[in-house]
Amino acid sequence: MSTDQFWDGATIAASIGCVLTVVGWFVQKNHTNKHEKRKELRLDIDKLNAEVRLILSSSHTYYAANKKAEWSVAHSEIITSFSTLGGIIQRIETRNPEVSFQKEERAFYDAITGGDFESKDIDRDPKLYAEKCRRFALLAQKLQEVGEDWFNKKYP
Amino acid sequence: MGNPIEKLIMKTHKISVAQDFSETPAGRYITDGPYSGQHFRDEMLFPALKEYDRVVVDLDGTLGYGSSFLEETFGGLIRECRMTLEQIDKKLIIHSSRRLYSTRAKQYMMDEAARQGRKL
Repeated sequence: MSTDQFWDGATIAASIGCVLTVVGWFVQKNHTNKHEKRKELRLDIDKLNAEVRLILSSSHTYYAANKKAEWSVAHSEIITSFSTLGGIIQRIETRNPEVSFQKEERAFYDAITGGDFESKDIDRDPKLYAEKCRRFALLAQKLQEVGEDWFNKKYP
Repeated sequence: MGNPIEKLIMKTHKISVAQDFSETPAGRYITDGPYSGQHFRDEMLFPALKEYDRVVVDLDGTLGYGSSFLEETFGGLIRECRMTLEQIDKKLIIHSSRRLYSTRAKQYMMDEAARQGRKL
Protein backbone atom coordinates (compact mmCIF):
# COMPACT_ATOMS: atom_id res chain seq x y z
CA MET A 1 0.00 0.00 0.00
CA SER A 2 1.41 3.39 -0.91
CA THR A 3 1.47 6.31 1.49
CA ASP A 4 -1.23 8.08 -0.56
CA GLN A 5 -3.50 5.06 -0.42
CA PHE A 6 -2.95 4.79 3.34
CA TRP A 7 -3.93 8.42 3.93
CA ASP A 8 -6.96 8.15 1.61
CA GLY A 9 -8.13 5.15 3.60
CA ALA A 10 -7.55 6.95 6.90
CA THR A 11 -9.48 9.99 5.67
CA ILE A 12 -12.40 7.86 4.61
CA ALA A 13 -12.39 5.99 7.93
CA ALA A 14 -12.27 9.27 9.88
CA SER A 15 -15.09 10.73 7.78
CA ILE A 16 -17.24 7.68 8.33
CA GLY A 17 -16.48 7.92 12.04
CA CYS A 18 -17.58 11.58 12.11
CA VAL A 19 -20.77 10.83 10.23
CA LEU A 20 -21.60 7.96 12.57
CA THR A 21 -20.94 10.16 15.59
CA VAL A 22 -23.24 12.89 14.28
CA VAL A 23 -25.95 10.41 13.32
CA GLY A 24 -25.64 8.76 16.71
CA TRP A 25 -25.97 12.13 18.39
CA PHE A 26 -29.16 12.91 16.49
CA VAL A 27 -30.64 9.49 17.23
CA GLN A 28 -29.86 9.86 20.93
CA LYS A 29 -31.25 13.42 21.00
CA ASN A 30 -34.43 12.28 19.28
CA HIS A 31 -34.81 9.40 21.73
CA THR A 32 -34.28 11.73 24.70
CA ASN A 33 -36.77 14.26 23.32
CA LYS A 34 -39.41 11.55 22.86
CA HIS A 35 -38.77 10.29 26.37
CA GLU A 36 -39.09 13.82 27.79
CA LYS A 37 -42.25 14.47 25.81
CA ARG A 38 -43.76 11.21 27.10
CA LYS A 39 -42.88 12.19 30.67
CA GLU A 40 -44.43 15.67 30.31
CA LEU A 41 -47.56 14.25 28.77
CA ARG A 42 -47.93 11.62 31.47
CA LEU A 43 -47.59 14.37 34.05
CA ASP A 44 -50.34 16.42 32.38
CA ILE A 45 -52.67 13.42 32.14
CA ASP A 46 -52.05 12.68 35.84
CA LYS A 47 -52.85 16.33 36.70
CA LEU A 48 -56.01 16.12 34.62
CA ASN A 49 -57.10 12.97 36.46
CA ALA A 50 -56.31 14.60 39.81
CA GLU A 51 -58.48 17.66 39.00
CA VAL A 52 -61.35 15.43 37.86
CA ARG A 53 -61.16 13.49 41.14
CA LEU A 54 -61.08 16.74 43.11
CA ILE A 55 -64.15 18.02 41.28
CA LEU A 56 -65.99 14.77 42.00
CA SER A 57 -65.05 14.86 45.66
CA SER A 58 -66.02 18.55 45.98
CA SER A 59 -69.33 17.94 44.23
CA HIS A 60 -70.09 15.22 46.76
CA THR A 61 -69.47 17.69 49.58
CA TYR A 62 -71.41 20.42 47.80
CA TYR A 63 -74.53 18.36 47.12
CA ALA A 64 -74.54 16.08 50.15
CA ALA A 65 -73.05 18.00 53.09
CA ASN A 66 -75.23 19.52 55.81
CA LYS A 67 -73.27 22.65 56.60
CA LYS A 68 -73.40 25.89 54.65
CA ALA A 69 -69.73 26.56 55.30
CA GLU A 70 -68.83 23.29 53.61
CA TRP A 71 -71.01 24.14 50.61
CA SER A 72 -69.22 27.45 50.17
CA VAL A 73 -65.77 25.86 50.24
CA ALA A 74 -66.83 23.04 47.94
CA HIS A 75 -68.38 25.51 45.49
CA SER A 76 -65.13 27.45 45.23
CA GLU A 77 -63.17 24.22 44.80
CA ILE A 78 -65.41 23.10 41.96
CA ILE A 79 -65.23 26.42 40.14
CA THR A 80 -61.46 26.84 40.45
CA SER A 81 -60.81 23.20 39.59
CA PHE A 82 -62.77 23.50 36.35
CA SER A 83 -60.67 26.50 35.45
CA THR A 84 -57.48 24.56 36.19
CA LEU A 85 -58.78 21.52 34.33
CA GLY A 86 -59.57 23.68 31.32
CA GLY A 87 -56.00 24.98 31.27
CA ILE A 88 -54.52 21.48 31.44
CA ILE A 89 -56.77 20.24 28.65
CA GLN A 90 -55.92 23.23 26.46
CA ARG A 91 -52.20 22.61 26.98
CA ILE A 92 -52.48 18.92 26.06
CA GLU A 93 -54.60 19.64 22.98
CA THR A 94 -52.35 22.48 21.77
CA ARG A 95 -49.28 20.23 21.93
CA ASN A 96 -51.13 17.20 20.60
CA PRO A 97 -53.82 18.29 18.10
CA GLU A 98 -54.82 14.68 17.40
CA VAL A 99 -56.56 14.36 20.79
CA SER A 100 -59.73 16.16 21.84
CA PHE A 101 -61.34 16.23 25.26
CA GLN A 102 -63.92 18.87 24.35
CA LYS A 103 -67.05 16.77 24.17
CA GLU A 104 -66.39 14.98 27.46
CA GLU A 105 -65.15 18.17 29.17
CA ARG A 106 -68.32 20.06 28.22
CA ALA A 107 -70.61 17.24 29.35
CA PHE A 108 -68.81 16.98 32.72
CA TYR A 109 -68.89 20.78 33.21
CA ASP A 110 -72.57 21.13 32.32
CA ALA A 111 -73.56 18.21 34.56
CA ILE A 112 -71.72 19.43 37.66
CA THR A 113 -72.32 23.19 37.35
CA GLY A 114 -75.64 23.26 35.52
CA GLY A 115 -79.17 22.88 36.75
CA ASP A 116 -79.67 24.28 40.25
CA PHE A 117 -75.94 24.25 41.07
CA GLU A 118 -75.87 27.88 42.22
CA SER A 119 -79.53 28.30 42.99
CA LYS A 120 -80.59 29.43 46.43
CA ASP A 121 -83.27 26.73 46.20
CA ILE A 122 -80.84 23.95 45.35
CA ASP A 123 -82.30 20.55 46.12
CA ARG A 124 -80.02 18.58 48.42
CA ASP A 125 -82.27 15.56 48.69
CA PRO A 126 -79.94 12.57 49.28
CA LYS A 127 -81.94 10.39 46.89
CA LEU A 128 -81.65 12.95 44.14
CA TYR A 129 -77.96 13.32 44.77
CA ALA A 130 -77.41 9.56 44.52
CA GLU A 131 -78.63 9.70 40.93
CA LYS A 132 -76.53 12.79 40.21
CA CYS A 133 -73.52 11.10 41.82
CA ARG A 134 -73.77 8.17 39.43
CA ARG A 135 -74.00 10.47 36.44
CA PHE A 136 -71.09 12.62 37.60
CA ALA A 137 -68.92 9.54 38.14
CA LEU A 138 -69.77 8.20 34.69
CA LEU A 139 -68.93 11.49 32.97
CA ALA A 140 -65.71 11.82 34.97
CA GLN A 141 -64.69 8.33 33.91
CA LYS A 142 -65.40 9.11 30.25
CA LEU A 143 -63.26 12.25 30.44
CA GLN A 144 -60.38 10.40 32.06
CA GLU A 145 -60.65 7.57 29.55
CA VAL A 146 -60.06 9.97 26.65
CA GLY A 147 -56.64 10.83 28.03
CA GLU A 148 -55.67 7.33 29.17
CA ASP A 149 -56.76 5.56 25.98
CA TRP A 150 -55.02 8.06 23.76
CA PHE A 151 -51.81 8.00 25.85
CA ASN A 152 -51.70 4.20 25.85
CA LYS A 153 -52.12 4.13 22.07
CA LYS A 154 -49.43 6.77 21.55
CA TYR A 155 -46.98 5.09 23.93
CA PRO A 156 -47.86 1.36 23.94
CA MET B 1 -69.36 46.72 8.53
CA GLY B 2 -66.75 45.91 5.87
CA ASN B 3 -65.70 49.54 5.26
CA PRO B 4 -62.35 50.26 6.98
CA ILE B 5 -63.43 53.80 7.84
CA GLU B 6 -66.63 52.52 9.39
CA LYS B 7 -64.56 50.03 11.37
CA LEU B 8 -62.40 52.87 12.70
CA ILE B 9 -65.35 54.89 13.96
CA MET B 10 -67.19 51.95 15.48
CA LYS B 11 -67.91 52.50 19.09
CA THR B 12 -66.41 49.63 21.03
CA HIS B 13 -67.02 48.96 24.68
CA LYS B 14 -65.11 46.49 26.80
CA ILE B 15 -66.55 44.84 29.87
CA SER B 16 -64.28 42.93 32.20
CA VAL B 17 -66.44 40.70 34.37
CA ALA B 18 -63.73 40.58 37.05
CA GLN B 19 -63.11 44.32 37.21
CA ASP B 20 -66.50 45.76 36.33
CA PHE B 21 -68.83 43.23 37.92
CA SER B 22 -67.38 40.63 40.28
CA GLU B 23 -64.42 38.32 40.72
CA THR B 24 -66.84 35.68 41.97
CA PRO B 25 -69.84 35.72 39.67
CA ALA B 26 -72.31 33.03 40.62
CA GLY B 27 -75.90 32.04 40.20
CA ARG B 28 -78.47 32.28 37.51
CA TYR B 29 -81.12 34.64 38.85
CA ILE B 30 -81.00 37.80 40.94
CA THR B 31 -82.64 35.81 43.73
CA ASP B 32 -79.65 33.48 43.80
CA GLY B 33 -77.21 36.17 44.83
CA PRO B 34 -75.80 39.62 44.13
CA TYR B 35 -73.60 38.62 41.18
CA SER B 36 -75.89 36.50 39.08
CA GLY B 37 -76.00 36.00 35.34
CA GLN B 38 -79.35 37.77 35.15
CA HIS B 39 -77.92 40.79 36.96
CA PHE B 40 -74.86 40.95 34.73
CA ARG B 41 -76.91 40.58 31.58
CA ASP B 42 -79.63 43.08 32.46
CA GLU B 43 -77.48 45.73 34.13
CA MET B 44 -74.31 45.60 32.06
CA LEU B 45 -74.26 43.45 28.96
CA PHE B 46 -77.60 44.14 27.31
CA PRO B 47 -77.45 47.93 27.85
CA ALA B 48 -73.96 47.93 26.35
CA LEU B 49 -75.13 45.94 23.33
CA LYS B 50 -77.90 48.46 22.77
CA GLU B 51 -75.59 51.46 23.04
CA TYR B 52 -72.39 50.36 21.35
CA ASP B 53 -71.51 48.99 17.94
CA ARG B 54 -69.26 46.36 19.44
CA VAL B 55 -68.98 44.94 22.93
CA VAL B 56 -66.03 42.87 24.10
CA VAL B 57 -66.71 40.76 27.20
CA ASP B 58 -63.56 39.62 28.95
CA LEU B 59 -64.23 36.56 31.09
CA ASP B 60 -60.72 36.34 32.56
CA GLY B 61 -59.71 37.22 36.08
CA THR B 62 -62.58 35.65 37.98
CA LEU B 63 -62.59 32.57 40.15
CA GLY B 64 -64.40 30.81 37.30
CA TYR B 65 -67.95 30.28 36.07
CA GLY B 66 -70.71 27.84 36.60
CA SER B 67 -72.66 26.93 33.50
CA SER B 68 -75.84 28.42 34.96
CA PHE B 69 -74.23 31.88 35.11
CA LEU B 70 -72.99 31.67 31.52
CA GLU B 71 -76.23 30.23 30.22
CA GLU B 72 -78.37 32.89 31.84
CA THR B 73 -76.02 35.66 30.71
CA PHE B 74 -75.62 34.67 27.10
CA GLY B 75 -78.49 32.30 26.38
CA GLY B 76 -80.67 34.86 28.13
CA LEU B 77 -79.77 37.51 25.52
CA ILE B 78 -81.90 35.51 23.12
CA ARG B 79 -84.46 34.13 25.54
CA GLU B 80 -85.14 37.19 27.68
CA CYS B 81 -83.78 40.14 25.71
CA ARG B 82 -85.19 38.83 22.40
CA MET B 83 -81.99 39.39 20.47
CA THR B 84 -81.25 37.29 17.44
CA LEU B 85 -78.08 35.32 16.86
CA GLU B 86 -77.31 37.54 13.89
CA GLN B 87 -77.56 40.70 15.98
CA ILE B 88 -75.35 39.22 18.67
CA ASP B 89 -72.83 37.91 16.16
CA LYS B 90 -72.37 41.41 14.72
CA LYS B 91 -71.74 43.05 18.05
CA LEU B 92 -70.51 40.67 20.71
CA ILE B 93 -66.99 39.37 21.15
CA ILE B 94 -66.31 37.00 24.01
CA HIS B 95 -62.74 36.78 25.19
CA SER B 96 -61.50 34.08 27.54
CA SER B 97 -58.18 32.38 28.02
CA ARG B 98 -60.23 29.34 29.00
CA ARG B 99 -61.72 27.96 25.81
CA LEU B 100 -64.33 26.05 27.85
CA TYR B 101 -66.08 29.27 28.90
CA SER B 102 -66.10 31.04 25.53
CA THR B 103 -67.23 27.93 23.63
CA ARG B 104 -69.95 27.16 26.15
CA ALA B 105 -71.20 30.75 26.09
CA LYS B 106 -71.49 30.61 22.30
CA GLN B 107 -73.11 27.20 22.41
CA TYR B 108 -75.74 28.37 24.91
CA MET B 109 -76.69 31.19 22.53
CA MET B 110 -76.92 28.82 19.61
CA ASP B 111 -78.94 26.31 21.62
CA GLU B 112 -81.38 29.00 22.73
CA ALA B 113 -81.67 30.37 19.21
CA ALA B 114 -82.45 26.89 17.94
CA ARG B 115 -85.07 26.49 20.68
CA GLN B 116 -86.64 29.81 19.83
CA GLY B 117 -86.48 29.10 16.11
CA ARG B 118 -84.39 32.20 15.44
CA LYS B 119 -81.42 31.41 13.31
CA LEU B 120 -79.03 33.22 11.05
